[in-house]
Order: sequence, then structure tokens, then C-alpha cells
Amino acid sequence: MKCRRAKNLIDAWVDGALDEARRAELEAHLASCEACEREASALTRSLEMLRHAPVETPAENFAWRVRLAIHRERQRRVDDVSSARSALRAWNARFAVSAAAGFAAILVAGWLGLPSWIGADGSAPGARVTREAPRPAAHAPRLARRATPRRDAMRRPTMPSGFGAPDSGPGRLVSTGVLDIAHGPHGGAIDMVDDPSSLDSLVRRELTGLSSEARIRYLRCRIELLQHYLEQTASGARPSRR
Amino acid sequence: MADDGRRDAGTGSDRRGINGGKGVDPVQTDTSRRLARWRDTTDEELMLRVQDGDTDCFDVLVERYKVRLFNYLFRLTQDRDAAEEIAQEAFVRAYVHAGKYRTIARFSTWLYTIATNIVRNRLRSKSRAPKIYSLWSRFAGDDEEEHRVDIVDPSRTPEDRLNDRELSEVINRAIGQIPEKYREAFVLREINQLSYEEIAAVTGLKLGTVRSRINRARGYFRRAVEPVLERGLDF
Repeated sequence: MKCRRAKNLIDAWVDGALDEARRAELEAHLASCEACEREASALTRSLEMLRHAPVETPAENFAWRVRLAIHRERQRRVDDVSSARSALRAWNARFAVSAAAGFAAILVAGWLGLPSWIGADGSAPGARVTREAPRPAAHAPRLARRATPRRDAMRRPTMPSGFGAPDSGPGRLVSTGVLDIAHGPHGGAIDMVDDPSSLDSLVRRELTGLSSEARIRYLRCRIELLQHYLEQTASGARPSRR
Repeated sequence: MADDGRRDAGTGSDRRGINGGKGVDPVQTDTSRRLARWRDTTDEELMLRVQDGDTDCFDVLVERYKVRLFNYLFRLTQDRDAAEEIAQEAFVRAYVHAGKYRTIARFSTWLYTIATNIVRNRLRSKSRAPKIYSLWSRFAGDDEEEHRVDIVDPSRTPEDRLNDRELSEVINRAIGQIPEKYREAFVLREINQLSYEEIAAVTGLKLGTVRSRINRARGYFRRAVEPVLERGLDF
């Protein structure tokens, strides 16, 4: 056996984990090799020292302290659970109060706002303009009835120039849900329209079949009606049927 | 299991106690009676009773394991206070998580695993924490050393006690020379005399790794104690 192999086996030999043949082989080597024998005996002796190591004992009251620590830990857990429960109860109470207040607020708001929302005659919102507005002329096409304004209708409307409208005060943009009307100092809504594609498709369709004069008449009529509607709305009065 | 428990450092019957164990303890007789009552019950059976809410059985387990666990931790940390603290925490955790214990594992392995994990966590947080050096620590340390009171074992002569203390310090210093990585496995093997399989279970390492770590640690330990052995330390 070579020294290198012997040194690899020394630990297993110390543990008593070598089989009989290997153990005999190693012991024969140790008997003949001083260096390996010195190493093996140093290891054996150092581990022997550990076998004689004095037993260190914890403090006398160690077991009592463990008991106390366990008791405290249990108490802490009980406290944690009870505080979590009480927090939950408190939260439940707060939630109940908040929910009741919210519900009451919704009821009150509904009671106050419902008549104005649905209209005096019980019609749906958004239908007011077209329903309440009288037809301007026999040939005037019906405006679209739409409950909610289109997204593009909220933008500044555009129309080809040449359509005059009465000058109606300082510029402002009003969305009616059907047609956006801008009142400008230079002829009102129609002058400010610069992109016909953003017009309500129904209005555009109505306009396509008409001559220029008819278009102007039609639009003026609609503007007039809408203007009337706006004035009544702004004054707080419910738009009346005309 | 109970037999195996008697084998290692737990009982102190086969080893000399540095602090003895015959100090005046008002609950000593009660503890002895309790231990005697459960003498033939294995750790695993006791744990099953603990799971059913029997706290007395856990006290018996504490009594059975407090010394060997403390020895393991003391050699590992080289700090008596830290060892007591960690041992206490390990017992508390074992009690709190008793429901998670399954009898397929030995209680001793489970307990050592808990303790080892606590030590590892502490070492990790210690390595992360900034080092603060106090001007007073040296003096405080000296003072503590001076006022430490050991419970005296009357069966040991003063000379024996001196030898014990010297031997214990030599061992501690030598174990301190072993890199932390190898120390756990070494102490579990050489101080607590656990089998390689048990050490693998406690440390979560492969058997081959455990063997190689122990062998390396033995090398460090041997080199550390060689000068002392050559000087002729009596043990």
C-alpha cells in the first residue's frame, strides 16, 4: 500500500468503517511507515482528547427558562390571535358603518338626482334633445337618437366651410350628444367645423342628399333648436316641447 | 432512541461534568420522578403525546436533550450565553411546531436540525450586520470572566477542575480553528457522536460531503491540538 492511499483510509480506519482485509493492509502499512503511523496516531490521540472532553452543562434553571419561554410564546400567540380577532371585529364594525353611510348617500343622491336624470316625462337621458325638439321642417331629417355621446363628438366638430350660422356670442364648445356646436364670434358652429368626417354620421348622411341651400337651412334649424335647448338647460328650466 | 440518548453527551454518566449537576435544585426530585416515569418511553412516543397536548412529556424531552444540545451549541458557537439562548429557542420552536413533527424522523435529528438552522441564521445575520467595536468590551469581558460562577461538582478535586477547564479551553480553541463550514459536521460527529447518516439528515448534506467535511475538520483539529499534545496535556 502506498502512503497516499493509506492516508485516505486513516479516517475510515478511525471510524472503524474498514473491512477486515483493508484494515489489515492499512495496519501493516502503518507498522512499516513512520510518517503515516505518526499521522494516524496524532489523529487518534486528538480525537481521544475529544472523548474526554468535559461535558458542559447549561445553567441550572435552563429547563425552567425553556418552560417560561414556551409559556410566553403560547401567550404571545394567543394574544396575536385575539388581537387579530378584535381587529377583525373593529374592522367589521367600521365597515358596517361605512357601508351603511355609503348606502344612505347613494339613496339620497338617487332621490335627489333621479328626476333630473330621467326627465320630467320619464324619458331616458340623451333622448331629450331629439324627442323634445320640434321638427324644424317637413323635409328635415330626423337626428340620430343616441343615449351617450360618441367619443369623436366630444372633440371639436368639423364641417366644410361656407355654412353660415348666426353669431351667438363668445366662443364655447357644447356637446349635445348628437352634434357638437361651437359658438364663435365669426358665424358660430359651422364656421368652426373643419373636418366633415367627425360629424355625426347620421347628420352627414342627411346632408349628403341636400343642396347647399337646403343644408344651410337644415343646419340653422338644428342649431336654433339646440340653442334653445341650451338656453333652457343653462337657466335651469326643463326644456319644453315646442 | 432512549438507549442512543444515553450513549452521547446527554446523561453525563459516562463523562465528567465541568459544572457537575448536583447543585441544589428545588424541583430536582420532581424532575427525577418525572424522568423515571417516562424512562422507557421513546422520544418519538413522547412527541406524539406532546402533539396531543401533554406538556409534561415535552419537559421530559428537554431534560433528556438539554445537555447534549447545549454541548453541541457551545462547541459550535464557542459562546456559553449564545449556546443557551439558541438551545432555548430550539426547544421553544420544537414545542411550537410539534404538530409538524413526523415520527419517520428521529426526534434528536429533528431537534439538532432546528438548532443548526438557528445557528446558521445567526451566523448569516451576524455576517451581514456591521461590526461595532466598543472601547469597553475588553474590560467588560474581563469582568465577566472574573465574576462567572460555576457550580462546583464536589466529586472533583480543584486540580481536576483546573484540568477540565484547561482541556475544555484547548478543545474550544482547536474547534475554533476549524472553518465554520466544516464545524457543524465535526462537532455532531466527535462531540455528539451522531452517525454519518444522522449528520447528513441534520445538515441537509449528502453523505459523501459529510464524510469529506468531517475528514477535513479532523485535519484542522489535529493540527491545532498537536502542539498541546506534544506538550503532554493530561486528559
